[in-house]
Amino acid sequence: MGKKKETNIGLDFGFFNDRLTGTMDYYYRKTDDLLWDYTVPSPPYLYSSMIANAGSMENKGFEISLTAIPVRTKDLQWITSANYSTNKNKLLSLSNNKFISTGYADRGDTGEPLQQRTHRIQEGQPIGNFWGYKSIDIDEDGHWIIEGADGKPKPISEQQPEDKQVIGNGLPKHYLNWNNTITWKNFDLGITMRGAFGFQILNMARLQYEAPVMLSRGNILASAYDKIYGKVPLADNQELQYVSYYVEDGDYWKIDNLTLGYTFNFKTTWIEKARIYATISNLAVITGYSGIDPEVSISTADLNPGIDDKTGIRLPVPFLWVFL
Amino acid sequence: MKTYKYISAIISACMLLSCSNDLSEKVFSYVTDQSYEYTEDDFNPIVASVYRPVRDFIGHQNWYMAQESSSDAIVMPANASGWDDGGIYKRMHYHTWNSEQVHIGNLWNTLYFGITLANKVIEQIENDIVPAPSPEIKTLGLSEVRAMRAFYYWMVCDNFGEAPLVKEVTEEMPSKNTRKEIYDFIVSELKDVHNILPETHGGTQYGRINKWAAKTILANIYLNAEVYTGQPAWEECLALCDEIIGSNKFNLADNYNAAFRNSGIENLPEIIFTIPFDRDFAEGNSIHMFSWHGELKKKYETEATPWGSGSAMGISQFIDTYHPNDTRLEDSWLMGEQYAADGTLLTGVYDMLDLPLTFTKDLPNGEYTLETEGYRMNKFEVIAGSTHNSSTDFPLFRYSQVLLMKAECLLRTNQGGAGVLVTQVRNRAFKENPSMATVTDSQLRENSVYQYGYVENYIITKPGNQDPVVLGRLLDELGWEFAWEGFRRRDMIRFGTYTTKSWLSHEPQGNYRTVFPIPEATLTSNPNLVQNPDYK
Repeated sequence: MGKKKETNIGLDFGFFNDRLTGTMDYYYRKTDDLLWDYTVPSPPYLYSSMIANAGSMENKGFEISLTAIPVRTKDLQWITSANYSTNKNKLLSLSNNKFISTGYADRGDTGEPLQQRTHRIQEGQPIGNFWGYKSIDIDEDGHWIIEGADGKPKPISEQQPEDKQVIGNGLPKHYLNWNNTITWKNFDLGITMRGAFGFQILNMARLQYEAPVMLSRGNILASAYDKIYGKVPLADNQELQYVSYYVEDGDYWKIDNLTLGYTFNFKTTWIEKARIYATISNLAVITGYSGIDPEVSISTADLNPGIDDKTGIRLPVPFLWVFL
Repeated sequence: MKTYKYISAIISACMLLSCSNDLSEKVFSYVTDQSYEYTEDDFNPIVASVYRPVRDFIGHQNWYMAQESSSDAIVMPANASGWDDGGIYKRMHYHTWNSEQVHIGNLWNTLYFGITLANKVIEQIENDIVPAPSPEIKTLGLSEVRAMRAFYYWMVCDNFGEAPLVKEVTEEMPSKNTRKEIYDFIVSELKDVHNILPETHGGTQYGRINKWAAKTILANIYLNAEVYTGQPAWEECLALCDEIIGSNKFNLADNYNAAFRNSGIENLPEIIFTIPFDRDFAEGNSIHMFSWHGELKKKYETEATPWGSGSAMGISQFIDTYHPNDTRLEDSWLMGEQYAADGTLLTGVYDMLDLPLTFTKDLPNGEYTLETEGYRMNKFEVIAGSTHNSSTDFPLFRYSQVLLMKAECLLRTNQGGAGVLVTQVRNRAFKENPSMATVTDSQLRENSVYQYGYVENYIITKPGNQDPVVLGRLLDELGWEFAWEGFRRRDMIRFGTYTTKSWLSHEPQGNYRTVFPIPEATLTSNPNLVQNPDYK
């Protein structure tokens, strides 16, 4: 259920004899009576969650798409097209009179053994905020020092729920696609690239396995013994914690597909044309993210985007050659 | 072509106009509250449903370990097999829990699940939505559910202090009531029903609250009245103990371990109220999984392998309090060399690789122990073929507790007779040395023999508070009789040691910790609740 109202202003254009075409679109979308799983208190409820209609959210954004033909001659043509979009999301309200009048709810799960929530959904904030402790330092024995609610450093063993804060957001702010197709005589070359920017990823694999304390349970990452902030490595007895050290910028630029083809023109009756091509898929990923693939799940049922899960085996996306 | 255009125009026009504004559904795939017709056959199952939540008590992240691992008798340290779960078990030992502690959230949800369910069942029975086979059965059923609800509220009063007192089905977000209000409610509820409930014991009443179970619960509430309200109620407790003793329905079993056997105890006259478990149909008893070493699977021939090298173990200072001839020590605690079912010596697999799996008493601290350190759970029988779930029942109240409760009330009101009762309970623990069983009133008033103090590397380095414990010997007696039975936290609070003394890696962290905080998830979803005092 839920009701959606949308306002859309768009502009289509073409210049230079349609050598440059494009559209621009601005939208404002308000969704009311959001249906989702509310955490409800027991008492008075028997179970601690309930599906109900309450709450509203606004999304506004801007999309522009351009297609240009910079070169067009008898033998050579270059078509380039790009699409850029940005979206701003804000949760307006999470309540009617009955449910969660406190205005926020925690979502997501780090899994065992830490068993903590990863995201907080809050009125006035966008969906996708990571909610955890902000690590700022490490003490000489290798235990985390976090920023307390009052802004002052405190040891992590003194953590209280109100020391948690927004430490990132899993929803990208900007998306960009850029495709190019060049044809010369019978050759064709296509490149598709895309990227997402302005978001963070919670690297669960590092949180779980980059800690010496997990050595007794199995293998850990070699980086578990790296110095934190250039000072000392984590202590052997520093238990797993959900801190901002494991939330990384996820911005990436991917060169998705590179295809080179050649078309044969036959002049027979039973075959007119044939094309052979070579394609490389998943050619390259340019990113500062240290995990395997920064393109993590962002539309999740539990409203906890941006978690790079430690459990499901994330194989590197394979580099594929196809010849046909 | 023209006809085609006309037809498609008509069809699209129809599609534009068809829209349904009626979103209400008739449900055919589920049985809902509105569609089910209750009959008299549903009466007993409905009453029985209120007992279901109490099975969740005995996990390692709920009531059971909240009572035991926060006490001076049992600890759950980390060890070589990797058991740590982010340090949550150690926080119970250190008393550094906060409102996000998993034991506390689970305990709250379990208790209020039981309460909310009971409120609903009471409404259904009172309004004849679920018809009773007869008016007498209706009254009995209502009384039984009210008594179980009072039990859950007693646990709320004992563990959380101030908490919502919700007595009927509602969707209002409740605010907290005072500890005294909850105390008054549970006392009045149990006083209303305890003489109505059936006197029959055992058999079909096994695992259900009857007259004697209700009296025992009420007696326990009176026993702790001073903790809950500041006003003691020793005389009221004494009167109820006398009624239970005077009924002649109960006896101490000949053997101490009889009440914890796997089968054949449904009519044991020692058990007053129990939580029945079954491997397949009534899950929840997993004590062997979190106390035992995985290699013990070969000794007990269980289907499941206990977790790692086990965690719940005895604190050495507590084990040291036992008299060397007290047979309850070996009945309660698993110690020494271990052998597989075929007789081969079991060996370690972690830091004691290929060395004998011999459980030793001394712990270096409460933070990290080696795989064979610590005496483990031996009290509850775990039979061959047990899975994660054992079929052995968990007695909540035994006759010996009534005798010791009476002894405590006598001592606290300066009346004689306590020594005789405690001796009676001790007799079966000293069969080879009967004279050692005898205890006098004045001995019971002596200080506890527990060597309190903060331990580092096996040695007490900081003694901490060494004030004599009033009736300390009686507290020791309670510890030896009820090890592993979920009593320790309550008894320590009543005797004043829970937030004052040091043991193993525990040092006092504040008197406000005699109750637990309201769980964070409940606080954030109900704005009418405020946190308990001194918890942030």
